[in-house]
Amino acid sequence: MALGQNRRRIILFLLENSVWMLLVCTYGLFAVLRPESMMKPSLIADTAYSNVPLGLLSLAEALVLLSGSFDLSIGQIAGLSAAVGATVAQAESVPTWLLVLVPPCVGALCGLINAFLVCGIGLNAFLVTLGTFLVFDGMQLIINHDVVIDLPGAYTMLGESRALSIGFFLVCLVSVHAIMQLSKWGLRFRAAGSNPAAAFLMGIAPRRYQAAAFIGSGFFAGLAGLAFTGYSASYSPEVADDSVFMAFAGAVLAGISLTGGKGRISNLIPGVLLLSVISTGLTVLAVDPYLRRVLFGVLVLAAIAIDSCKERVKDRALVRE
Amino acid sequence: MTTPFLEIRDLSVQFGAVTALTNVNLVIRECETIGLIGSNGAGKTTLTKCVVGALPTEPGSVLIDGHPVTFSGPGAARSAGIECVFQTQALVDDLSVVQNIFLGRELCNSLGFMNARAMRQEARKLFAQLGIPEELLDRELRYCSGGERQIVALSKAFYFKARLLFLDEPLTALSVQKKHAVLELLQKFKDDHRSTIVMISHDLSETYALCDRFVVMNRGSIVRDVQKSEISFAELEQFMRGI
Repeated sequence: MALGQNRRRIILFLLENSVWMLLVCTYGLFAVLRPESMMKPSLIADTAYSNVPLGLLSLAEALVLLSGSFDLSIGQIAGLSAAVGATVAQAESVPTWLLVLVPPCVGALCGLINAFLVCGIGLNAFLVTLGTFLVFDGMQLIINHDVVIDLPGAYTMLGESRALSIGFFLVCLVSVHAIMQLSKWGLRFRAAGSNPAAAFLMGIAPRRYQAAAFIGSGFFAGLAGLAFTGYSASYSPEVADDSVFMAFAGAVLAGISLTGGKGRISNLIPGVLLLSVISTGLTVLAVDPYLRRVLFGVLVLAAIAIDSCKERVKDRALVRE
Repeated sequence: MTTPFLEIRDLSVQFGAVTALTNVNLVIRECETIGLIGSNGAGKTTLTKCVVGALPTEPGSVLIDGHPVTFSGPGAARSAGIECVFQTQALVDDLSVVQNIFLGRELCNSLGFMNARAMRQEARKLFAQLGIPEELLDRELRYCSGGERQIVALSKAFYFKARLLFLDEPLTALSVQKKHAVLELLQKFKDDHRSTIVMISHDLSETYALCDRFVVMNRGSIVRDVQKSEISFAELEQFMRGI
């Protein structure tokens, strides 16, 4: 009996941390193919730093996936937040400490719009966020369709400073992970995402938690817009374009289930690093840029397949006879 | 005459063109064990959902200890000591057994962070009291059998000492052995807590032994309300065949 329990614990541990193993194997593969590029000591830090904005977007998408929903508009929320932030940052009268609050507040407001349409009115999340994807995208270009380079240092500090950038992302990740795993709200959030009907019968309001997910997602997407701006020390209308698919891939690779309620936020670290390592590896292998898009698409499909297989392996190993 | 614990007055429920309940009136007293029986579609589950706050009760009213109440949801009903173990078991597959027991009523500090150790200890004590294997505690609910899930659902009500417990088809799809275990647990619950139990079933043979009063429903109405001492099993079975 003890051996059976230990076997089950080992299987569970390996499955829950499979993305770490995948990260190590992928890095190892590229390191064997291109050791001179992949074995540089600063590679991990550089990779982590350059992908903090993507990490924040993956966190945004992970929140909505955990709530049992889906958000196509997080990239455009990041872009709109960055546009508003850059416009406000150019105004001299605004205090600098207030500037960094603009993008996450704009993001949260966009999330509130999604929350109202999905949770308040009851419209389909996929269709709503497809619509708001287009709305936010258009609004971004209306507000600011030019590149902005003269931004205050305080505004770009978050993305420009490597230590601050990585440290801030880790604080966000650890905070959300702690709330999800250790607090009663996190438990209820996961229950509402996993089985809304059962959660309701237990006195939990699933729509409230889903609304909080959309607002929180918007908040982190806004932060991603700020990070994108800081990383390039400028605002560009193309900021965060097409990033929703990479963010989605990062969340699914991290083991956030597509059916809601399952997954650990902490696994976004290896999930996003895995995307970064693949991107870096394909770059050092000089893979054609168009072929890279194909390969990333294949990667997203593979991530979905792995998520499905993982559950089947877990079921087979853990179902009682 | 003491005030009844629960009183339902003139309760009617409509789902579009379908009438689920018609002017239902029911009085439930403390420490009763009631079999709420009837064929599928008689309105038993709908009545239960109204009482536990999962459906609105207007038109009609629900009184607790003589005072009219309107539950905003199942959480409010639970706060009033009314629990329900639904047929679908209202459990979350992706959480552990301990988490399912305490979901919605977690043991927390003032900041809202759960005391997982305390919750596990309380669950372990509860399982020891009920004779349930401790190994069940940390298992994800999806890996529990039907009987184990039913026991987890019942142990929730047991721990939180429900004043009134509704059990919606608690023995459906269970093996003979598991049925026996669940019935033993119910008897223990009844003896230890002096709670009121309403057992909903379409199968009279499952409920007859445990219950001391029978409320028969048909097509959204109560058609018979009788004490066990006033009717035999055969007579009640005959009555149900005739409706």
